[in-house]
Amino acid sequence: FCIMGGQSSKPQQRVLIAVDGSSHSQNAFDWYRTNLATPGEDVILFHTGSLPSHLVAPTGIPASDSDVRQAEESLRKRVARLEESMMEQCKQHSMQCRWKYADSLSPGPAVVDASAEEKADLVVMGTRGLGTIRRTILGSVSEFVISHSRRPVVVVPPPPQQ
Amino acid sequence: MASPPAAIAGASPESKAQLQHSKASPTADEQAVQNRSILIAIDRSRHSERALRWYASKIHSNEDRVVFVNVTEPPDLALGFGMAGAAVAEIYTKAVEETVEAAKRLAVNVKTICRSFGIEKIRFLERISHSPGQAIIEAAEEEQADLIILGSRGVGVLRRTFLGSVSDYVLHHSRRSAVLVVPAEQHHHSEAGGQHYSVQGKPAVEDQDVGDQAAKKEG
Repeated sequence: FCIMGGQSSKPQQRVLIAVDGSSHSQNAFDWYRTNLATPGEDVILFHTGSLPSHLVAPTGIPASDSDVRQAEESLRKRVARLEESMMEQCKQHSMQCRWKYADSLSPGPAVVDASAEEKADLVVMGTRGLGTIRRTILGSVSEFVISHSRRPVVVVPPPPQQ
Repeated sequence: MASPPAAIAGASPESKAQLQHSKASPTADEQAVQNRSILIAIDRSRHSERALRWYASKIHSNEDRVVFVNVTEPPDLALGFGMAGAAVAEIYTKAVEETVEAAKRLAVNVKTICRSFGIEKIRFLERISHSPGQAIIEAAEEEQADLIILGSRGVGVLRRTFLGSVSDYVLHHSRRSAVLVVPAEQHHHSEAGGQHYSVQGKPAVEDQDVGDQAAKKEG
């Protein structure tokens, strides 16, 4: 890391926030905005998804063209809605955001790859929170990312129950 | 951001303008990033030093309340009796003294690093616990930490995971946000930052005592 002597100003940071439309990913975004966000920071909102796997991978029964088209359309709509919602929030809070989408069957590796590609200074992820035992269930995506990320990762638990 | 813009050689006019903008007209986001309570888990390894430097260079704001927590495990108390018992008590006392001394050296090193970044107001929590992860989580609750800063073990290509057991525990049990500061991107054939691996796969200098280095520097 670049180490500067004396009073340091922060070099412009690039932050990748994994978003999936869930409440815990929204919570992570909100946490980032209220605790870490600084003006001039470059925020990448990263979303990954895919068609249902039976339409992507070969199975015994070939999917009809119309099934595939319908699935593609509904995926496209869902992603567009999420993008619109997140970018609107960024605009409201004067954040410099960019949307990034990647098709993948495996979200964990997709987040790791995206953050490496973007040379993110930080990856922000939400988790689902406590399971029935004290050890929290981070979710398979968070688990993967914290074990394999080559960039710093902040894990944002859900807010305490009111 | 409260930190004043520094004169950096070669700073672009755009970044200078940005710094001045951030000082002159706080945005809603800027106002939100105030009075944060930051808990940094520190031990004698290079990993926590890296985590500290990451925080200091990338995240720190002058209004942060910075607290370090150093957790050491209690020395093993081997039971002895009679004459052996007396010797054991002496060994135990010595072990405790060494632990205290090592913690002091660590604190000195941490203060030195912080000062080099212009961070003067810091606090230390010294804890003894068989579960460092649990102690860190408790400290985070006491301090109502907005963020816990953890250095990962960063063992690199020989093992798939970067997590150490303490970081793993904290990430899985914490109700507060925690950042895992992994080592910077490395090429496959070499390890950056002096972490060279021996044939057996154990890092040769990974757990070098950072506190002792500071003591040597001070003479």
